[in-house]
Amino acid sequence: MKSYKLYYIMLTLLLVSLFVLNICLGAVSIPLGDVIESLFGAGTNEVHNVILSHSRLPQTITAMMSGAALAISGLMLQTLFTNPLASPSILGISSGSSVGVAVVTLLLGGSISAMGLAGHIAITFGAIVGAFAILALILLFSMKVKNNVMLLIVGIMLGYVTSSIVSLLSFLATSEGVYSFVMWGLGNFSAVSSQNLFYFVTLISIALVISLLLVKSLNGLLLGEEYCENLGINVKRARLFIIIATGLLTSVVTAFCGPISFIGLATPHIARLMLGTSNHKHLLPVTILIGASITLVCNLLSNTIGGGVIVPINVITPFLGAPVIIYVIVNKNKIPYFNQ
Amino acid sequence: MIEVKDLTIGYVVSRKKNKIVHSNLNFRIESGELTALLGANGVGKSTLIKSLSGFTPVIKGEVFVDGRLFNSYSKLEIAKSVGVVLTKRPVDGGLTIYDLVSLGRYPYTNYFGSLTKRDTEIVDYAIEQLGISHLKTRYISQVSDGERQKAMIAKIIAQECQTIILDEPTAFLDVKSRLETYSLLRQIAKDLNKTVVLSTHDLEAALRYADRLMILSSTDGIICGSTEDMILSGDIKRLFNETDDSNVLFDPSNGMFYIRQEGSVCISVEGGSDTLYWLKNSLVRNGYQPIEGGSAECKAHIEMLSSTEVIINSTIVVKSISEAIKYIDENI
Repeated sequence: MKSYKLYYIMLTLLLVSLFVLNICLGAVSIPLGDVIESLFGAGTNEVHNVILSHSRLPQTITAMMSGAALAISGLMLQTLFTNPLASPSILGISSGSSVGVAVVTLLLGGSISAMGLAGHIAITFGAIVGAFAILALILLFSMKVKNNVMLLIVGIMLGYVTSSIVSLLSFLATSEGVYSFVMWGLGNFSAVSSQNLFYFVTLISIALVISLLLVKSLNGLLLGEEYCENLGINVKRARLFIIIATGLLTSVVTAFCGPISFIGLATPHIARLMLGTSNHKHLLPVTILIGASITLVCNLLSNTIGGGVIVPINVITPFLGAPVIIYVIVNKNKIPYFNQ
Repeated sequence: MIEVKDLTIGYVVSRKKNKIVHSNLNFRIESGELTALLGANGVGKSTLIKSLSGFTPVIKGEVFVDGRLFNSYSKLEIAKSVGVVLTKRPVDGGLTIYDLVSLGRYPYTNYFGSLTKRDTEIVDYAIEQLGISHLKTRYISQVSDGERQKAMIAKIIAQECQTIILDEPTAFLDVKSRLETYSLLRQIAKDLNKTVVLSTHDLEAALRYADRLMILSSTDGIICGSTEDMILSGDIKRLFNETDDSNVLFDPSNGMFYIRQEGSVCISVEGGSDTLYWLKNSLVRNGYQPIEGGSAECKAHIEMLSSTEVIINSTIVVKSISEAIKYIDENI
């Protein structure tokens, strides 16, 4: 059978080099030598030390983890809903998180970045509640609405309702709160401070591990529920775990970095096209690697193309994600996993 | 072997309400045989299949699979002993046939589904048994419906299930793959001594390949028997003529079905077994009722000497069945 070793090696190399580029490049370029010295505590340039430890390193790690998280959520949702166009943002899960965040920031007032750890915990909690509420609703509708396209439309409708709630909250909030919420909505990997980074990385890692343990259930679901059940897999429990993992991944990322679009939708497609299989045994790790790499590319572009000004992440992701989806839809008849 | 005692089947309508479809069903399905479950649409075939597959819980009564009460099987034990093939396609076409068949090893593998050497040997054996080795690297979406169903059966073989239950496995297949599937299933039942039961609407293929028939009807419940006994005892004929109240007639002499037409003219027929079959077929299609040996009401007599020599009323000789029909149409 096909060997996937080469893909893992290439993707890991790509990820490492992007990681290094993200740390070195930005408004101020830092030579690799300085970076290495600083990481081992021997940096002589104080400015570089501060930039690295307080900005570059946490931002790069956040971007990488977020990319992995969103990509794998997209993959699991696509498998769970047997719908290649499902993703946290299309199904309204990110919007659900937004409402949670909006309730916390707009009603409580104040700016997100100034809130510190307690504020972040409150926001994360709001995002988690919002995301799971929408996931529960989508799951409920998925039992009634068997048609995939119709279910996506239900997701989009839920998204509209949530954004209207957000509008109402914005209307009632202070201008400072609204500004902070709008900035959050543009997507930003720099909001995770080095103090919060530990919590962020821990939460995401736990959910990623849960996801990797779902290989068999996800592969079983490729055959449909009854076939899956006949393989001895507890479908109800598998579904619950998939929901918990995707809900956690999406809401934590959304809480800290804003509703980041297209990473969750496009990455699983890139992974499937690259590997030529829907088998999650390889698809899950490869999706993580590609998701992290793509997000690092976006972060790098966001920090460098503006010439000193940071371009919001959500300005960049559609340019990378939308062409992938359009390519997949145009070539749908030639792509095995798109057809039954 | 499956043994069913006083089984009540049905489906869940709401939390506390079950819709009962059948009650007091008693039957046995033997291993080493291919058993076909027949019955009209909506009579409860699928519900019965689902109960036997463990998808819907048994409402009342007892099901024994290989001598053990089915209710006492865990999900994993069911997966290891009862394999299911459905009409439905897998929802994703992006797995290769090899990957698909190796999913059958899931009840036996670790958390990540890693295949041991023994697992891969079993997968290879299953693929070989179904004669689909050349399709190993093809995607599910790239093979024909028939090839896909063979792969699904190979998956069950890899799953090492003693019992194989198939819910209308040949519904979408063309004639060739349909017959191939039936004959493969029968071979599997015989050679590997498995219990194979399938539900189908394809009565003619069932009559040809099934060792046993189970006929489910809304009035009589389930009637079982070996195929030929059921044809000759009139069970099949009775089922279609009486319970269905339809115009479908079953001819036990050739296993064919005809549509009864009101006021059709009776024609007595005679001839060799190979040609007579098609003469009857043509007469029925043209609105006549053929009767072998004839009776007093018959308006004409057709005798087939060979495929090119047909004698009508012992006097007129024509060269083909169609000419004979033409003559009858014009003169009777």
